[in-house]
Amino acid sequence: MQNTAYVRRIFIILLCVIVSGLIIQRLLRPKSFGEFGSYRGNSLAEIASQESVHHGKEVCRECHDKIWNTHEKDIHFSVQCEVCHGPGDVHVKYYHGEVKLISKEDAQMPKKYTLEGCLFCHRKLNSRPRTFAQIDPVEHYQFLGITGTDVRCTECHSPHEPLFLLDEVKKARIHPAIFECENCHDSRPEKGIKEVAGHPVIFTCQDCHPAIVKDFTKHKHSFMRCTACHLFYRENETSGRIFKNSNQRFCLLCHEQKPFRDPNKVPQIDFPKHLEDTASVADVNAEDLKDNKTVCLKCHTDFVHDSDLIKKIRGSER
Amino acid sequence: MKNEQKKLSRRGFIRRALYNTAGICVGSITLAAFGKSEDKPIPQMTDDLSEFDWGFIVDITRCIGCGACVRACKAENKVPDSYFRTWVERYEIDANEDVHVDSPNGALDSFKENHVQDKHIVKGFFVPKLCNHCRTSPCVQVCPVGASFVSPDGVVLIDKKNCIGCGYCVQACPYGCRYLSRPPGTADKCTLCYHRIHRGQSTACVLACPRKARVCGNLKDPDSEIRRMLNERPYYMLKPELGTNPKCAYIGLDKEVK
Amino acid sequence: MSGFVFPNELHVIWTVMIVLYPYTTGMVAGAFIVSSLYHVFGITRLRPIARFSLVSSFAFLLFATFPLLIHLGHPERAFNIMITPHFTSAMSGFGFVYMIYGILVFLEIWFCYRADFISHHTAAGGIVKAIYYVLLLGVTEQNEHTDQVDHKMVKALAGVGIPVACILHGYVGFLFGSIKANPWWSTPLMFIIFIFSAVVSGISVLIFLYQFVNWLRKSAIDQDALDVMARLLWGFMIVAVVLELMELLSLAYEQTERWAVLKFLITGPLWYTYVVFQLLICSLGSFLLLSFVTLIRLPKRLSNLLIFISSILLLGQVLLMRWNVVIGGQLVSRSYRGFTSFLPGIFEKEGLVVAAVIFIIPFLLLRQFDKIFPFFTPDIRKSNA
Repeated sequence: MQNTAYVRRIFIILLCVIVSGLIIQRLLRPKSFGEFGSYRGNSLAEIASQESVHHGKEVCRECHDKIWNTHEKDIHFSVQCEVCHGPGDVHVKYYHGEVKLISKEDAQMPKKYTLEGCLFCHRKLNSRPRTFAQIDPVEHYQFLGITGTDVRCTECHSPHEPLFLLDEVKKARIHPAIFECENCHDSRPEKGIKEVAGHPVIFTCQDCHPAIVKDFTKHKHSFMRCTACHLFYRENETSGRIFKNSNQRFCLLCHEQKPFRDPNKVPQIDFPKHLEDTASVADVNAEDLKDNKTVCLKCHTDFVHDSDLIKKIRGSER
Repeated sequence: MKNEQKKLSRRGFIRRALYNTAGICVGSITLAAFGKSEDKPIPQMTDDLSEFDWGFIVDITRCIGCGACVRACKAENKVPDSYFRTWVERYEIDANEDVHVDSPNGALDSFKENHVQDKHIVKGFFVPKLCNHCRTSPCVQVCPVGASFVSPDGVVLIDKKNCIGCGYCVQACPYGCRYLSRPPGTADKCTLCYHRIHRGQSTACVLACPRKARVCGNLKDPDSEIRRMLNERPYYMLKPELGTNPKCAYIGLDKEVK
Repeated sequence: MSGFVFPNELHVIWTVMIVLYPYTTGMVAGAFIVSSLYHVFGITRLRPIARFSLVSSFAFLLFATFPLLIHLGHPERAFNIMITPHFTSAMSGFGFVYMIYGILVFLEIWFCYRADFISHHTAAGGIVKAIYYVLLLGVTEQNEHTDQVDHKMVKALAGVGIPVACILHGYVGFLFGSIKANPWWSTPLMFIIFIFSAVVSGISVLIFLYQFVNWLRKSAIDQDALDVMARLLWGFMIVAVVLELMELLSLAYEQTERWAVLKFLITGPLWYTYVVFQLLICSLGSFLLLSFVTLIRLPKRLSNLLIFISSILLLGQVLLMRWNVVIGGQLVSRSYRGFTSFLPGIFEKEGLVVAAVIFIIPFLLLRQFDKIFPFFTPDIRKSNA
């Protein structure tokens, strides 16, 4: 009837609105929606097309192979170049020729690294695994007689070859787990293992290497533990790798003359000069010795343990 | 008669006006609809995605809390300040079994000192955290527009072009790994470096970790490192009671870690 | 920040706007249900405010989306919830339910006010007359038959509208209650709690406006209608508060893992807003006042004053409840070890000034609506509409 036509009209309008709404919805929906699921399929490729910022050390090797080889040989091989130097990003792209619009200066990578950088990993913290190499900077400086306050780690340590290993680190010998006091105790106890009743029986170096330890106690470094030089890196509960450290640069870590180090705490020498001074006395050719990596031990077996003893025990040159 | 004519013409005018308006509306929307195409096609994914199911392992026994992963992720993905796609938590437990947890700026600058200074700490460890890429992810379930989704290869991703920035997914994540920063006003989170894993590179955090405390790999590959580790070591997941089926396994997970 | 929170949890993302949104839709749903109590359930004593409730619901509805649009990171993509909806999400229903409800309320108002439009159409001239003509879809007749048709349509729409209104507001409750990740929000009761407190806020705002507007205009109120509303308010608020307290009691009694941190939440960051203001002052206070009014015979002026105060207290209570739920839930860390903190900004995009403006505009709009949909004049049609 005419006078209720409005009811029909309003519902027709409503129907038109709904239908046109559905049509518009279909038209506006992105085409790739629903390709893989309830989302826009194209977004997968969009996300995957993001540029990589880090490149990995294999790419660094392309140009920096010398330092790469040094780095790869030593204990920091597991630390990526980009962790300390920052991401390769533009630097790599520039030298790959992938990016043209930046200057050479902008493509530089930062070389310097602060004290904090090393301490990110190596600061002594209660929560860090006790077998991980860590220091309290204050204690460390005190021990070494370092008097300066702002001395960077890199003044003594080389980040690329922290241990100055002569043999490749991955070829280092596997050795049964060595237990230090600090693995269980918070600080070095006053009494030794044998002085405490009921202390768990722990292998000491002496148990397997009696001759060397006996010889060592005669020498000047006997106040130190074996592991101070024969660094041990624990890989799992039962074993790890042991390093020899006969490199002269390792000796120089403590003994090289530095302006910030107290010469009375640790005897120090000015190294290249030392060779020249002593060559004549020792009746050796300074020139020959300069490239010899184990040069300190040639003369200073008194201070370590007799490396000849090792040759006698093993019956071969080492 | 004049009045009626006037009425008619006014009525007619209004009717015509309405029809015209309707027509213009429909026309412009249709034009807009057809004009609205998606952006130019990007190089399509060539991998067969169904062969992959990306998983992750965090080895708490190996983490030293250096924060290299946090820094690498920030640089790789340009994560804005005070927001984190990954972070490292530190746990210190004292002799009274009190637990002290902290994560200063997400461990971006590592840890500067012990958190607890005045008590004897009997147990401590670091826990790196990141998106668990859950199989039945609550963040995917609650997204109103389908901008949060699980890819065919098992990575939970965000379609930045579709996201309206409502923040519902941020609320729904039980692990706190999502964030909504303005700009750009869209939700964001760890993408498992989707752009890197599809180029055969490792994720930025796995690359940066000097201790192999993070492992990423294809769970569908029986020879992969991740499969081998999951078969050899005991592990646990975070908040399994919520039914999210997370794919991030934690080796050495302690009960104090939530 | 106290204790430990996950680094991303320092940021509270659902703030003042998300508190305001359920508050507004609560009033939408509540007002509509009051109107339907008359149209569907035939509580004739509510007739004087039935049309008023309906128009109020519509006025609030028009501004319900504003807090959301301001909050969204990409408001220009707001329509995506209808273009690419993801139906596993409670939020995806919003666009459709809002539209359906909006159409429904508009239709109901349209049928309700047909007679008024016709009289306006006859009285007016020029463009205004033409507009009314279009609005009436060309039918300017009114007789007993059309009145009956209108009445039936209104009743049907009001009936269908009750569940729709419940979904429109209840889905927000479900949205919060279904988040298993949040220990403060996660409960199956949230849907029901939100609906009941919505009705409370709806009745409260109607009472408040009814008394306030009539006081401004110096016109008489219908005492019967007010008494019925007060009684309804009393009943609904009891249910709403009891539901919330049952939830709390259950948490405190079962003492599952989350109770330890929630106890700290209630006695710490939420002590004043939840315990002191929401529970003690607003809930207990209004309960006592309304019990007094309902159970004891008081002089009319006093009882009307007490009702007015109760409505204000309950408006505050519902707002605080939204605040405590939305903000409180985000203060707790999912590590169960700490809290973050939040202070609303004043002049920010999602700040208090903007919130106040968005909240007040519907009231101003209502004032204008009175001219088109006069709500305090009785319907001129004989049958109830």
